[in-house]
Amino acid sequence: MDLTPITQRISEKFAALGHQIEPAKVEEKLARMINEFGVPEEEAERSIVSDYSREFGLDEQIHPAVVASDAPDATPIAEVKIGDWATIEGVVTVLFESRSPSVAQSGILADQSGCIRFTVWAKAQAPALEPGVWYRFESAAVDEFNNQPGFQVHSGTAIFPIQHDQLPHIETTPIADLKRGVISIEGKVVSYTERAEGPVHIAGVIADGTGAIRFTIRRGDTTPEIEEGGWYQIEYAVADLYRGAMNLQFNAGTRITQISDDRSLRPAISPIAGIKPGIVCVRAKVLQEYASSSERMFQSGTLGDESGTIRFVTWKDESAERLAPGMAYTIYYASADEFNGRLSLTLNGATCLPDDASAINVSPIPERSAPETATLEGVVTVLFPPRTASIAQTGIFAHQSGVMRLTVWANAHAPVLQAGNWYRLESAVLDEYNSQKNIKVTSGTVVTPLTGEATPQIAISPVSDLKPGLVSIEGKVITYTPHSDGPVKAAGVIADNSGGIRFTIRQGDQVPGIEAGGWYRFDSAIADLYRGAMNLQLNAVTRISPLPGDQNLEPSITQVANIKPGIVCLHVKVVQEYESTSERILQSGILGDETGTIRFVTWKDDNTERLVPGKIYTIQYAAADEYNGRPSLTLNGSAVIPDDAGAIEVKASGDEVIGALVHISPGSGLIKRCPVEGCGRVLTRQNYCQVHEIQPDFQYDLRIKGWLDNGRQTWDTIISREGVEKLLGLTLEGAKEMAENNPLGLETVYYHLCEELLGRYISCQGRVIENRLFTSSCSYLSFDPARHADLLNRSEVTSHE
Amino acid sequence: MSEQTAFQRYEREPAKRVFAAEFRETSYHFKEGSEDKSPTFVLLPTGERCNRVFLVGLLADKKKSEGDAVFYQIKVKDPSGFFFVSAGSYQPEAMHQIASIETPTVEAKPTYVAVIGKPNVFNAPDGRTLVSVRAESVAAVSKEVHDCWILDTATRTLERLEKTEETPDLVKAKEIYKQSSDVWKRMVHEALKTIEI
Repeated sequence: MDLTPITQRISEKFAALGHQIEPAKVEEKLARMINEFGVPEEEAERSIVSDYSREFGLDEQIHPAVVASDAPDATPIAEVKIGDWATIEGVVTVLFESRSPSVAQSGILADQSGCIRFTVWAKAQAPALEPGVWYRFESAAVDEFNNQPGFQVHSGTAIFPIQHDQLPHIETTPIADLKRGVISIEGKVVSYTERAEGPVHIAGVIADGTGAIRFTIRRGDTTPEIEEGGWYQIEYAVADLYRGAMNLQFNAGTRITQISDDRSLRPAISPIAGIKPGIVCVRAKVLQEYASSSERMFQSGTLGDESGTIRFVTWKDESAERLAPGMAYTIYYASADEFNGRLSLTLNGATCLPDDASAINVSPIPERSAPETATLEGVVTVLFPPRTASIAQTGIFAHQSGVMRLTVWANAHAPVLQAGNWYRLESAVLDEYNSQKNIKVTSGTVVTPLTGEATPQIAISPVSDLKPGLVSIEGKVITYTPHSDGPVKAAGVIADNSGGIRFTIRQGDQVPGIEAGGWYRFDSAIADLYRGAMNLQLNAVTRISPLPGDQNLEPSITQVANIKPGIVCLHVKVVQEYESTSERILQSGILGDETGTIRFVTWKDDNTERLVPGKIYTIQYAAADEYNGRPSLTLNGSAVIPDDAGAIEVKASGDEVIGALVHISPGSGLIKRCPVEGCGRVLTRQNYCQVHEIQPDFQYDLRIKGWLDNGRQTWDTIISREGVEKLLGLTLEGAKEMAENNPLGLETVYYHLCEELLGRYISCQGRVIENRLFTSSCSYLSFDPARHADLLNRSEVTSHE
Repeated sequence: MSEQTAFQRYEREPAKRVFAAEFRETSYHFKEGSEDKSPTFVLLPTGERCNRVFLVGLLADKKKSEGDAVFYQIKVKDPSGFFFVSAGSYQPEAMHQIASIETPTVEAKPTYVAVIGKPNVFNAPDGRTLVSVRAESVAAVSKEVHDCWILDTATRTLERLEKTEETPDLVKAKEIYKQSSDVWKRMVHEALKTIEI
């Protein structure tokens, strides 16, 4: 194994402290500990570092000793790395309510460089942290928290409050340059509003010559002594992002000093094109005013300057001032927010001073193209309660070539639409929002209800060709299951010779009775995508007529590789059966054919049977879904017919890697895992989990960590228990026994593994992610005579003979 | 913290498959980069760099040198010749493994070994350039592994010979080594013929 990186790290560490160590010596020590004594790499490194530290009398400097030492420098929060044991200094900005008895406190710590989440474990018996107070944490374990570093206070962490006079000095930063973290600024309070209700007690804006920032003080926090119009030096406040904009938080540690000398503030005006979320000053012309779409809105419209345009809104309050269209204004300290991916300015609280309109050359606003209109005949399938007063009705409208969202504007004064009825919508507006099609009934739209003869006839389509919209099909009801509660009254599967489709009937929809096994013609049903699969909705407009005679239904078989969400028929072999993980599961496992494999599950109910592993079945009308991005099959409700005569050679899915196992890392073999749910980290030989500390009730596991190499590429490989068991011909139980009956303990298994597997060619099925391979299915490679013959031919030298 | 440092992965050089006859002719070695810890490579006559090899053959000889520094030397025979493999105190794992493999004798059953190691070019006292393998791991394996290795090594050697792209390594190899590609092709063919069907 390559010990160079560790050797280098150790010798550099001491070189930095003025002690030269010969790398070869370090490497030798490492090699001895790691290779001969099987000491884990990290442990070997620690032990060698402490040996040398003792030798050089450096104990204090290298070891984060648990004393309030002037020893290790704190790591800036922005530079803390996952996996570090770090010393961190900062101020507690927020404490969250603990959700678990094992967590004493959690919150956010900030320093000049940034913010980090922290967790104080109850076991740590640490003193209670207070918001606004600075602390020094020595030996905090840095771990991952939603992909971001977070740190943990455990029993080995030392916590010291930092006195006010010992806080690090923080340079004053111009407001425009603020970054997340603890900061100091000098600025003028340009707005200060006390609110009577809500969690925010005071909100305001502080500005300097470079820009402005919002600040908020929560109810219950101490109110700083500041007034509108005053200049202050504000030290040890915390800047953080809130909805994309920088925000200032005061806390108990924040120091505020009034600046007595007279200063003037020249607000920084930003061009409209350069606006980012936050507080801004602009100089702009009112280009447009919109008709108000809400009771609460005072005015809305568009502002423009030479660089671009932006929407603005003023909500109704005492300070609301109307801007005159065509006039220019300098607007101080408006709030820019992002809404639906577009910036808009809120003018409440801002100061708007009239300006010279002729001085602003507005870049032309792009012409809004005329809305696309269409005339469509279709069915209102469902209506939802509208969310604003400006909308009279919302719902879904299905027509022959699609299903779209329906909006009826209140000012359209259209007749009230009924779900389940046919309508012709003339000159309705079509648009697309969030890639969803919308049809809008405006004052220009003519709405005509259609009944009887007037409703269009829809031609019959094969089930496999259905597209979203109103459709007609002829088919056999394969299953019909009434539901006793929920929004769906009944569900089932209908099939014709081209395929099957799931159908649903909603509660409240009047649909004539149908029975499983019967053939029907369904006129005007609604096909739409639901979770990626085509689904058929039968409702009051659907006309259902029984078809006479007994028709022959021949299920069309789908190959496993071509399965898409929906209803499918398969001819497959049961490749594998999993141990049941849930009370409700009757059976789960893997099915496969020549084209690939798919997971399946059968839930417990009265009339489903278990499949026999290794047997071949024809499965008719099973439901295929996507689960965690991978297709999966539910067999409940499908017909399963054993096929004793057939033969299927199943194609393995996933990646296959063939190579020689050229390295087996320590940490392979029989290992102990942390039993805490969701953790599973490998414990040290002292049963220590780096997060959950000592875990005497660990779980054993078998694995190989190593490198698989095919001569051109190497894979950092993890072979999980099933794979190791198969290669070694040794079960987990057997490995445990082996370890128990040998003085070397767990290492016996490691040595056995190396002896049996190192330098062997194996073939692995699994997942390759970049240069990593995860596999649980491996076998030894055997000599391939066909390949031998081929190579003999290929290596034949024909020339110059 | 940047994503890069958090997810930086260790890229390992693949262990090249090379027959003893080709390996024995290797004389040119170089360093990639100028730092102390930069990897060193040898240039194979078939035109590819190599800083690790995987080889399987018959254990032909085993010597232990006593004295200040303990180290083992073994000879490993493949169909085309011998590899010289050594393991010293810097390769304790390999040393341990070699020590535990039975010394070959005339009567004993043939022992196949798999070796993973680093190529090492050095100048012998008589001025010749010699190449050996500093073992990282050694394992006793079956004849079937050896046969698989011959197929694997034949495949990789032919791939090197059939490569048409004029890589800097290939250009350099043509400049240094005089053998024509037919020599190596014949070597591959002969090696394949030793497998009894």
